[in-house]
Order: sequence, then C-alpha cells, then structure tokens
Amino acid sequence: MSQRLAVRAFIVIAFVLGLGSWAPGVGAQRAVRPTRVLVVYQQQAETRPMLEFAEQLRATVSRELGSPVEFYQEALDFDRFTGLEQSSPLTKYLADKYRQFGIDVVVPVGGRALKFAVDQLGRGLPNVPIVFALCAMPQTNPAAQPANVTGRISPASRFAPTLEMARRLQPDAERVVVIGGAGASDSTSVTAVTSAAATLGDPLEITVLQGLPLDELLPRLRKIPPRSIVVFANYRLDGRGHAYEPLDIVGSIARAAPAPMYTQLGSYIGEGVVGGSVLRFDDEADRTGRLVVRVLRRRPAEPMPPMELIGNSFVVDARQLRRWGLSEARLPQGTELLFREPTLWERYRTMVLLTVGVIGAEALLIGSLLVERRRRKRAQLEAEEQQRRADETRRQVAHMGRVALVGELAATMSHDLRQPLAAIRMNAEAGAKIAARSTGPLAEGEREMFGEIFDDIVSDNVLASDIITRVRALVRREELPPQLVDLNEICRTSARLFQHDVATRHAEITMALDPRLPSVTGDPVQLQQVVLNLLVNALDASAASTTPHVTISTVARGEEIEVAVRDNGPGLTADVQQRLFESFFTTKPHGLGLGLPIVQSIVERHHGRVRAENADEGGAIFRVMLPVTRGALESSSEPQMKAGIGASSNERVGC
Amino acid sequence: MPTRFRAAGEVVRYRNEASEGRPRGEPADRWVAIIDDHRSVRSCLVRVMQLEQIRAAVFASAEEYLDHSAPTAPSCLVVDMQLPGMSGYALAQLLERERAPLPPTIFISAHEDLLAAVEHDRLTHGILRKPFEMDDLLALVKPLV
Repeated sequence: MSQRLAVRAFIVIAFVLGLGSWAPGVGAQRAVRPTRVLVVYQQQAETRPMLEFAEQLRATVSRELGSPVEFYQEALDFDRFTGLEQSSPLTKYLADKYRQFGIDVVVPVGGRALKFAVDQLGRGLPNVPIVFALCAMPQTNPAAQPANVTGRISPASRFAPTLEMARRLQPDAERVVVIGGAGASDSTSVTAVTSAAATLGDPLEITVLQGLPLDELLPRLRKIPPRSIVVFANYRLDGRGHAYEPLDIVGSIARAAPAPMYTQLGSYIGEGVVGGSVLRFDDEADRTGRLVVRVLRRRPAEPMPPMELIGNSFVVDARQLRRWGLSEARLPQGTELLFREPTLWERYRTMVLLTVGVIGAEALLIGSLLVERRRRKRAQLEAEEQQRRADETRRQVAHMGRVALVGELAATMSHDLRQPLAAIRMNAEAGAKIAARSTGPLAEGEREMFGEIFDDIVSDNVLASDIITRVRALVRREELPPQLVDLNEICRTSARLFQHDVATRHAEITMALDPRLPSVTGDPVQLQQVVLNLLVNALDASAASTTPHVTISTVARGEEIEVAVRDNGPGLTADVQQRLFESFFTTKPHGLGLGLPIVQSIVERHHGRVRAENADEGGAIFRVMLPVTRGALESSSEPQMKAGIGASSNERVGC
Repeated sequence: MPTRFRAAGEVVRYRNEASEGRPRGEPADRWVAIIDDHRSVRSCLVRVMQLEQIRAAVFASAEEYLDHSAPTAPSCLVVDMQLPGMSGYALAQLLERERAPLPPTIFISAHEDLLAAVEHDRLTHGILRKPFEMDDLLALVKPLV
C-alpha cells in the first residue's frame, strides 16, 4: 500500500516538475489559461481514502489531457456540518468565489455533493459540465439529471453481491450482523444491508448494531455467535454524536468480531475485514478522471458522454480468508486477492523450477544409469543362465551323443575284447594240451613253453582290462582336464576302432598323417569323439560307392591343425550342407542327427572350426581346424597320450 | 627243428628261420604261414605247430607276408580276416591273382559275420572262429603238410 502511495507521489512530483520545466515553452501561448477542475467532496477531503482518490484523479486527468490543469477543491463535510445542503450563504459564497474565476468542470464526489452541485452550485455556474463520482442511486437517476451532468453510478447497494459472496464463503452461517453508525449516510448503508440480506435466498437472522458508541459496540460484538456474517455498513457518527473516519475504526471492529466481517469500500480491506464487492477509490478516481477528460475534450454542442455504471469488483484479503479458514475456491470468479502471500512456489518459482529441473535431470540420469545397470546386470545374469543352460544342454547332448556312439562302439569293443579273450582261451587250451601229452616230469622246453603261455595270458588280460577302462572313459559324463593331445594318435585309434566295420563293408580307410604334427590342447575323449563321428558319417556316406573309401588326413597349417575326413559318397546337396549342423537333422534312416552338432560343439569349445564341403574328385570332405598348443609348434609329433579304445600294443594301424 | 622260438614280444619271421638252413633233400616246402596281428595268438599257434612237428612261420600283417623271401610257397595259409592295412581276404585275392596257385587258405576271425561272408568262397579252404579248438586247427592243417 505504501509502495503504491510512493509511486503515486512520484508521479505527482514528476508531473509538477514537468510542468515547471514546461512553463517557459508555454510563454508564447500565455493567452490560453489552464483547465480548471473543481472537485467538491461530500465528506471531508483529508481522509486517507479521499486523499487517495484526489491524488489518482489529478494524476489521470493531467496525464490524459496533456495540457495544464489546475485543481480546486471544496470539502462540504455534510456529515459534520449537517443541514447545510440547502444553505444559501454557502451556495452564494461558492458561486461568488468561482463565477468570475472560470471553472471548466465540476466533479462532485458523493451523492449529496452531486445534489448540491446540481441544485445549488449550478445556479452560480450555469452550464458548467458536472462529472460525478462515488454516487449511488437514487441521486444519480439519469432521467432526473440535467443534460450537463454525467458520471459513474454506483449500484444502489453493493451489499447484495457482498452478502452473496459471504454466503458462499460461510455456507453454515446462521445470522447476519450489521454494524452501522448513527449518521445519515450510516443509516442509508444499514438499510441497504438489511434489505440486501432480506433478499438472500435463505432467510438469515439479522442483527443490527447501530448507533452504539464504540466502547459499547466492541463488547457486544465479541458476544455474537461465531456462525455469523458481520457486515460493516458504515460508521461515521456514533450515538453520542462523535464523528469518526471509518477507516480509523474499522480495524478494531474487525478484530473484535468473532466472525468474518465484510465491507463495501476497498480502502477498508487490509484493516481486518475479509472483503466484499467493494468500491475501490483508486480505481474509481482513475475512471472518473478519464471521463472528465472526455467531457473536457468534447467538441462544441456535443452532448455529454453517457453515465457509466460501476461494475462489481470483488476484493478479498487473503490473510483474513486464512484467519477464518474460508476456502479460496468458493470465491466468485474474478475476485481480486490482496495480501496474498506468495506461496513458496510463487516466490521461488524460477529457482524451484531450476532446482527441480536440475534435480530431475540428475534423477533421470541416475535413474537411467540405475536402470541401465540393472538391465546390464540382468542381461549378464541371463547370459550366464543361458551359458549355464547351453553348457548343460551341451553336456546332455554330448552324453547322448556318447550313448549313441555306444551302439557304434559296442561292436568294436566286443571285437577288441574278443581278440585277447580268444587268445587267452587258445593259449590256455594249448597249455592244457601240452600238459595232457607229457606224463613224466616237465621237459625243459615244456617248462619254457608254459612260462610263455602264462605270460601271454597275463598280457592279454591286461589288454582286455585296458579296453574296458577306455570304454568307461568314453561313456562317462565328466570332462577330462585339458591336456596335450596328439591328433595323429587320435586318428589312428579311431580308424582302428572301425576296422571291424571296414572289413564288413569291404571299405577302405587310408590315412595321410603329417609326421611333424604339433599337439593341440583339449579333452582327448571329446576330440576322439569328433574324429569317430566324422568317420562314422564318412563310412556311411561311402557305403553308396562300389569301392567305399575314406581318407583321414592331418596337416599343420601355421597356427592350426587340420584334420580332414573325406569320403567317396554322393557328396552334400545344398540343402543338406545348409542344415548339416542342426541338431536332429539326419539323412540316415536310424540316425539321431546329433553327430555333427556334437562335432561342432566340441570343436568350438576347443576354439576351432569345422567346415563341410564337396571334394573336387567327388564325395564330401569335413575339415576340422584346431589351434596348435602354444609352444608346441617346435615339439615333434611324439604321442603325448594315448586315448581311445583299442589302442593295442600294435602301433601299425596306418595303411 | 631249427626254428627258434622266443618268449613274448619277439615276432618269429621266416627270414630268421631260413638263415638257420634246412636239411638238403628234405621236402623243405612243407610249411604253414600264419598271419595274425595279435601277438599272443601268433605265439600260441606257433607253439601248437611246434608240438605237432609242423614247420610254421608267422607274420603280423599281409604286407609283412608279401615281403617275405621264402623260396617256396607255404603249404597252407592261416590268416586272420582283420588285419591292419590289407585284410586277410584281400591278401588271398592278391595271391590268387599274382602268385597263383593260392595255397589252401584257412580264414580265422573272432567275428562270425566276417567268416560267414567267406564261408562258401572259392578262395576258402576252411574257416575257424576264434577262439577255436587246437584240434580243429590241426585237423585242417595236418592233411596239408
């Protein structure tokens, strides 16, 4: 409020200074006298609302008119100088004062001021336009006014909308308490309130506290029930004839009331009243000022601008709403909230927005990082799980493959076991024969022969045990620790395993083994399985030929060793070649379709690769490439270990 | 008998036997060739032949037999069907083709199906499934030496 005053003061001072500096320029037009405005106040002019009004009026007129203006004022002060409305000496005094002086426009403020201006002053200042302000019906009845009168009309009572607002804010109110003074204008206001209260939709009990001296009014007021709507009508004069400026006492009355108090003047808001549909003096001064300028700028013979109706303007003190716990949401639309403490949000919106933005961005970043981390962790877990499952599947498949191989191996194993078993039996029989022939003591030659026979039997027995041990190693599920493996040896023992098959089918296995083959690192049993599987396929494929022929070759190519198994079968069709390594894909009538997937799985686990292609000279060729063991390149192809079934004492397997 | 027999591990070869020399005028061409890749089978069969006073020489593979330098063909071949490299049957085929006439050939094997395949073959003099009775072998061999 004080700030607003300061601004206005600044405007006025600036205006005055502006005039001062402008004065020399006006010198040439000295003949044009300044516009003269006479403001006639119904009340005393020194009250704060009136001073505010006067200040704003001057500022607006001066600014809008753009030429020098002089203001004159008469405060009729009818509330205190009662009965002077019709006073002819006062009228004569003013008429004499201004008739010859020259007044361009009269601005009466207040209804009785208007009446005085029209009825009394008009006689002394005929045809001077009158622009009234802050006048309510019925004094302002346009039809009853002369043509030189215009102004802004207040509704007869602003209390109706104020009460409606109060009703909305306090739906549980049970009564209306009207506070008014004993003066004439006080009575008018009190009547206006009671009649407005009577027209409310629901009948409320109406209590009128009128004309009480202030020291009686306040205790009375304190006792009213809290479910009340208190309306401050007006209080300019108490029952003892003591006059007040309402602005000075409205605060103490509001503080005494145990219920929300409403009013009709904007100036009272801030003193402790809730608010209402109010007249705002600053606003009215501005609008009246603009109307005055329009009247002054009127061309000759142009009629006065029409009277204007002052609209409802709801103004409410936000602090009072809070004090009484009234809901802001229930206010009429367009209500102006004064003294509304900006919320933290409003006060620090930019900072809050910025902070929230930064925090949000950070949170987003952190969140996305967390999500990313979680996603990565989950992906990692999934990958591990997948790996685990793949390993399990591979183990199972490998096991199945081995079991499938068992059928293949069984024949070979039985053959391999039959050899030593047969030899044992024959040796034993030979021994028995010798024993049966000699009746006397053993001859030296016979003794020697028995020794040899028993030696042979023992060595054949060892051979048979070895075979059984190796078969067990092949079909068991565990993996052996990685070790140096001689692939040539693997090829030899594998070929040897199929001797039986080869002979039965009249097939032929040729071996071309690189004598200087470096070793590889891996599981000998698994690698043996690779070669065996390839060999089984090759033998099966070459069975289509009249002269079945399979070639196993090994060769060192730099850092890699290639094991190739070639057959002279029909070769691979494009379709077969494409699906070769699919699990359960088979071209054999009783095949499981696991052989090559197992080969691939094992080879890949040994960091190698397997390729299938058609040989130029016909048939298919499967190549397995395995990395050479680091540091094994220089070492010779001495067998690093002997794995495989049927690795008999006879090393001559090749052709 | 000049043929020297050694304990386990030593393969008896015809060449060694030849270097011992044979009595002149004797029917030195009556001998049996035994071809088997299993060492103890070889030694066992040689012992039995020795007991029966039948001259015998043993070979571990078909290739080794083809390599031998005996002046006369054996009176009888006892050959394992499954041999490293050339199979027993393939050897018989080759001998019949290139060194005819083929001596009476007795195929031995631990596998009946292999033997069944050659049982009625014209190259087959007899078949024996391991393990076989020594008497069965001698019954086949003795009439030939």
